[in-house]
Amino acid sequence: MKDIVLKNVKKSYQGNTVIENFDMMLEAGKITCLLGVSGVGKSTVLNIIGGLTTAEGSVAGIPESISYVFQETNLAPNLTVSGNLDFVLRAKIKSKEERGKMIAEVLEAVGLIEYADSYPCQLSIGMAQRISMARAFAYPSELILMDEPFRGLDIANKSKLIDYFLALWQKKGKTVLLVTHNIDEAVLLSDRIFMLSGKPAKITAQFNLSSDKTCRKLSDQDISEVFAKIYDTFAVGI
Amino acid sequence: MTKDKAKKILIRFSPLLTVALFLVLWYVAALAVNAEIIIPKPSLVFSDLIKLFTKAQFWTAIGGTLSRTFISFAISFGLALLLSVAGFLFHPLHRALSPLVTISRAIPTMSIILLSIIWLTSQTSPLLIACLIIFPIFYADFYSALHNLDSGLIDMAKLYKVKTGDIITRLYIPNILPSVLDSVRSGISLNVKIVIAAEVLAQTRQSMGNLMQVSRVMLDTAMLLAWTVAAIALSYCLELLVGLIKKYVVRWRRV
Repeated sequence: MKDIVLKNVKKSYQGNTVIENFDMMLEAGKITCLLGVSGVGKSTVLNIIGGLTTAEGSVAGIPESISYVFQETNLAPNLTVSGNLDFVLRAKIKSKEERGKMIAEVLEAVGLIEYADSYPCQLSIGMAQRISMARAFAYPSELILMDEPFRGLDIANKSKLIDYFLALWQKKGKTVLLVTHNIDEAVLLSDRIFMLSGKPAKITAQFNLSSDKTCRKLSDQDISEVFAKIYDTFAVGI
Repeated sequence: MTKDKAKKILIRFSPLLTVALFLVLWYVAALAVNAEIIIPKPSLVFSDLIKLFTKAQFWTAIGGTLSRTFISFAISFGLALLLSVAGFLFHPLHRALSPLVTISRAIPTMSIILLSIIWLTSQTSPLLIACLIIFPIFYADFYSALHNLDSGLIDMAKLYKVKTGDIITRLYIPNILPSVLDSVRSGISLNVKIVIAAEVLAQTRQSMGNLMQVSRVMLDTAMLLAWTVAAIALSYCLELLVGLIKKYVVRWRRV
């Protein structure tokens, strides 16, 4: 697993520059957060790393296989929960038995093994997002791109999803890029936070967090300090 | 009996009540008019229908009309499916087809029937007529089913590098199937109606339409209505069949 490095990246759409002089490094096996207000260009960065769009500058270390967790769960309504996971694994893993084992393992990890034969319409939004996350971790990839995965969830579901996410991440050890506008999520989950702002957008601040993510609280001194700094930076930016 | 239970029973039996009410009104109208040539009593129509069942001519006519319905249906369905997929994948083709589809939808049914009678034989004109009327409906429905498929699902499949074959068989087909079967369900009874109308005017041999026309010429209104009831039953059976297929194929929608 290699670090992913973006250097002096620039992206324009129809003459309108969205990001410029953009430098960022995703450390292998760590959770990096790209934090910024809505519409600043976070998804553009995600699309560049995911290979969905091209950009000027240097982008190095992108692995061949990437997993995604979207804002929408994007579960096929005609497939069961295990069918949805099997759908993305089929091209990568030939053995049905092996796929079955992997699916059972991740469903167990997100506490939804008993829903393996249920259809997405039988799940709550929180449960569906857990399946979407399980799919990303089950898929044999080195990098997970997460685009506002906790959006639309209530506090209880969000907190549960964060716990399951951290447990899976510890088990699988993948590199994660979390894109969000939510400071809570950024400080609770990340090893490093990059703040994206301005027009064209660029990295305006970065913060490192070294405490154990599994037992972080917003009230922890280091976390609340970083939170306050980010909040102030946001306020100045706005 | 609780209020809810009574409501459920009413909902369940309301179609039967409507049929019963219709029969009562029909009977009252027949009594009021008191002329079998204008409105025969329902009992006479149903006894004529039972007589029809025993005649080989009835079954030959049903077979003929059904085969024309199936052939025209298969042609319209196949062509609409093929062209809607091609139009979906290659948008200029969809744009190129849209005037043809609009014209086919707007052209008066009677013009198509009369022209096809001039151009074709009495056996083949019902096929062309049904195809020209059913095809644009199927094409528009199939195209919009493809177009309205959740693009997020397709993006997800592409990002996860799912094989194209799996995307087609596990995403596209199962997700457009409910809309396609809905379209087929309403299209099949329209198809029966159009084929019979064309058979009446083209005087197609071995057809329900031709025997309806014969009943009209003979001023046998009861027999004409008996054929009408048979046509309704035929459409209903075909719709029921498609409904059962849909119920089986899209089980996931009912969970």
